[in-house]
Amino acid sequence: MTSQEPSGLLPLPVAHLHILLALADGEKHGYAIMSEVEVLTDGSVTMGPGTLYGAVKRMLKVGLVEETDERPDPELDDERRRYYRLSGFGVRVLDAEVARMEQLARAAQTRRMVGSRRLGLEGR
Amino acid sequence: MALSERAYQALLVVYPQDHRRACGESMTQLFRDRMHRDGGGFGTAVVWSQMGLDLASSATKERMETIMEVKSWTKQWWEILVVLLGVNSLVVGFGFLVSGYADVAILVGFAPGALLLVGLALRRTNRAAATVLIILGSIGAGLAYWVIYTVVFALIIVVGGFQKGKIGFQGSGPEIAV
Repeated sequence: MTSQEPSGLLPLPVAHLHILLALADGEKHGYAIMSEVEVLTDGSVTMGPGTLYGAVKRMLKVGLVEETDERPDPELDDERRRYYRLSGFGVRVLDAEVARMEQLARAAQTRRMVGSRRLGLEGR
Repeated sequence: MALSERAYQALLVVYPQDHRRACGESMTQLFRDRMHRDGGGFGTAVVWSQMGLDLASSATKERMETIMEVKSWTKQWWEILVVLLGVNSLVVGFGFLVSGYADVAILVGFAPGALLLVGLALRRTNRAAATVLIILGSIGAGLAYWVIYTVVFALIIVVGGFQKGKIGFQGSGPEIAV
């Protein structure tokens, strides 16, 4: 359990955000995280082993994710694989980051509308 | 083990040892999974080109992080050195004070010691002042030690010379036997 405030870690590096989102629906091993990130980004981001495990190492250090012994289906899985899941702090940080991005998107939308009006592009 | 996997494992040497130990096995497993999914013919070339970029960028990042950690470790050792030097200067000053040399105590002990320790205390709040104080304190302490050691060595040589009879007084002036 970390006493750090989520705002202290924002904005999150893109790789951290992708991994947190990939783990949002349950624990996963490295390959499953990589595949989920591909799905989340419509195939535009494929995380390599160095990037993924470098990010996971840093996220473990600050307590965003934790390693788990739980296996979704022990029958089907390789025991050597490491599984990761979001920690309570990781959930809070993810919520804060998503809220921050929503606010930013709203601000950008407002600016765009104002900009379009100024240029007389509205309705075109 | 496939040739590609062996080659990838060999390339992991570009990462710092701690990172390899912590993540090497999992990284190789992920590479194996990628090859299993996308490898074969042109796919192998695509996977390898992605792995090359990934290796270059992530290994650089890990190496940089290791260097930064070493830097902060070195900085801490500098702080410890300044504390030791400062405390030692104060002890030297105290030694001169109880020996009845108050002026020398201030000059070679208390002043450099105080400069060093006050500089160290200010290192987070006023970096510029801290740097100046630590440099002045170090110069003061260094000069003081140089003077002290020079005097001590000179005394050792003179006293030793007297004891061995190589230095003595004859007639009106000193005489040094060669």
